[in-house]
Amino acid sequence: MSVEAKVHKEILIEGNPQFSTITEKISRIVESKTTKVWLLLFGAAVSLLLVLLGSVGYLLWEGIDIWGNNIPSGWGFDIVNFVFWVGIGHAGTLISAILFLFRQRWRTSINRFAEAMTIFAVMCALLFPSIHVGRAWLLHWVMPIPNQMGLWPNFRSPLLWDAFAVGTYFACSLMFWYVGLIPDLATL
Amino acid sequence: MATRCFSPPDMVNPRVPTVTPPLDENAIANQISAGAIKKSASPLGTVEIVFQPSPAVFDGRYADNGWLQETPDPITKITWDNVAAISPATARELGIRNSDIVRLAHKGRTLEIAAWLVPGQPDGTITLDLGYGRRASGRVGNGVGFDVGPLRTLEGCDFITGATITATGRKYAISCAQDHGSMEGRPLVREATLEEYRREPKFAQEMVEHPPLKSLWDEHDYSQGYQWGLTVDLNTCIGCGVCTLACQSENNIPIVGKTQVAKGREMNWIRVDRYFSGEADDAQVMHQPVMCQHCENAPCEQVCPVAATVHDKEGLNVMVYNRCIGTRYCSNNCPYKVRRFNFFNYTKDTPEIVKMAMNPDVTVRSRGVMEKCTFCIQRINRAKNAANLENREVRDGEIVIACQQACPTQAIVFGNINDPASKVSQAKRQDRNYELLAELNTKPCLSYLARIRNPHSQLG
Repeated sequence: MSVEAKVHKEILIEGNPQFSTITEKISRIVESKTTKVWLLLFGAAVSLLLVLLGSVGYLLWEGIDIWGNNIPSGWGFDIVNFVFWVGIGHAGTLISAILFLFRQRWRTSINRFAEAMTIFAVMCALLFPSIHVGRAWLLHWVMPIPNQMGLWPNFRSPLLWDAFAVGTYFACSLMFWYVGLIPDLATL
Repeated sequence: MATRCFSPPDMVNPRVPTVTPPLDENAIANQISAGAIKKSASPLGTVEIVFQPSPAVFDGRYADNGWLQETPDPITKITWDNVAAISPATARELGIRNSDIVRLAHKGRTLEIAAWLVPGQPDGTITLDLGYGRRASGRVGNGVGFDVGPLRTLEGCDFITGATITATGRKYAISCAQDHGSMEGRPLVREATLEEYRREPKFAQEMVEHPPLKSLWDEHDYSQGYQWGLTVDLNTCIGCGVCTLACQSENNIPIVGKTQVAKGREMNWIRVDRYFSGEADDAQVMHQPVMCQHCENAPCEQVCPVAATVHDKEGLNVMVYNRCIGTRYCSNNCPYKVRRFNFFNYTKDTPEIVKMAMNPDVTVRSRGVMEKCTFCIQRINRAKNAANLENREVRDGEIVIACQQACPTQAIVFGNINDPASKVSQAKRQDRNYELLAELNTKPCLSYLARIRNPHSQLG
């Protein structure tokens, strides 16, 4: 018996559902009325987000003194956060990619989740180096886009390559996510 | 440098001894060789207290000067405070640690002050700096440090004996600009005795062995024009810290205050490192002024993503404040840790009249940018402009940078190292010449002249 045939026989979803029942089930999540529990949890999450926004506002207003860094410890919690969130992002990519490479057909149930985690984790990761610099409003100077000084960035700097690497990672993750999302978008 | 107690006219009394008898140097040398002076003569808990004018604020007359308040003490490196300096051995006996508040008492007078362990302080003695704890000094000096006046009497203006010392069990926050006194086996300050130097004249260069220094980057070309360089003679440096002050004045460097110094955010472009050598109970002190070394192969230049710190045609490592976005990567990569960052907008509240006191030739830096020693580039450019107008080269000695100008022992020499006849080139040809952390292949334009000690046979 070939591997293909064996895989086809395996029951991935119990209860023998039709395509329509699954479509119905998935669409109900987004199309039905939002439950109170969901709103409550969303409210809690948003209030935590407000803490972040307030802190970032204070940071931009006062200066990066509030990170508690000094000379010679120029980097601290900000860069720790960056590495932490990149790690979380890598976990999402790893889960999704490993399952894909091993051709696990049941991965479709979790790959959207894992890849979304990657994207949002990378966004969090990008946030921290952006707000740890002394003059965050000039951050675009690290990218090779035209600026008022007519100056290229310093291509010898590993930090520039960090920006490229994380940017590329974000773009690829977004595409990876989008490709998996196409059937869902079609359904909705 | 003992201070005298000036009695008010109506209190002049011939019975009060105001002049100490002349010192018998032979007797002291004999006592030292016999080990008598090193041992604590006083019973446990009693100490001799010595009063000295503060190296920063003298007798308190300069207490309202923020620059002086923030200048680290040459030995303790403490800013914005005075302490009870105590020897490590005595502190061990009494169970006193750094920053402990101790109560000093003498004939019913008491004083509570923070203790600080100072290697080299004679056992059984306490040194107190005058000039602190002022109540009517002004905006800066009020309430800074401890007023040691209550312990002084006309009997003993300079010192009192038989005072008691007890720990109170409380702590006090001290802002120390350098909390480490050991070189950890690395030859940062290189020194030798005169005999060693005569035996091994090139000891300074031979103290560190390293593989051949090859670089990935092209060498800078100095076949024409100037290449600025500097030497610091550690033989003559006395560690007073005047260079720090001169730099602060010349380069519009802000003071940041006690709390920020405690957080390691002092802004001085040139700092004087202090190291102790030998045993903790019988230490020698070494000083080393450290500013930007203007490396030819500068680690900071390679990592800045926005090219805000770059090399110029004259060998200077220059900082372009306008380009800086404040990643602080340069500071992280600097092995000398001489870069300073504007964590706040330190000049935000500067009154207009004080703004007019700033040096107009130097940019006042804003929040979020890195800064560091520029070799007083404004003075270099002024001299170059003057030379250009007269259609000649800049003469040796025409440029005097701020730290060099203020140095009381002329330890700092600046000039064009492209010119073999310049004073700085001559200094760099000396066998005592060495570069700090040269084994990292940074190729600094700044070098040090190693220190030679010639101690008295009975004292050494």
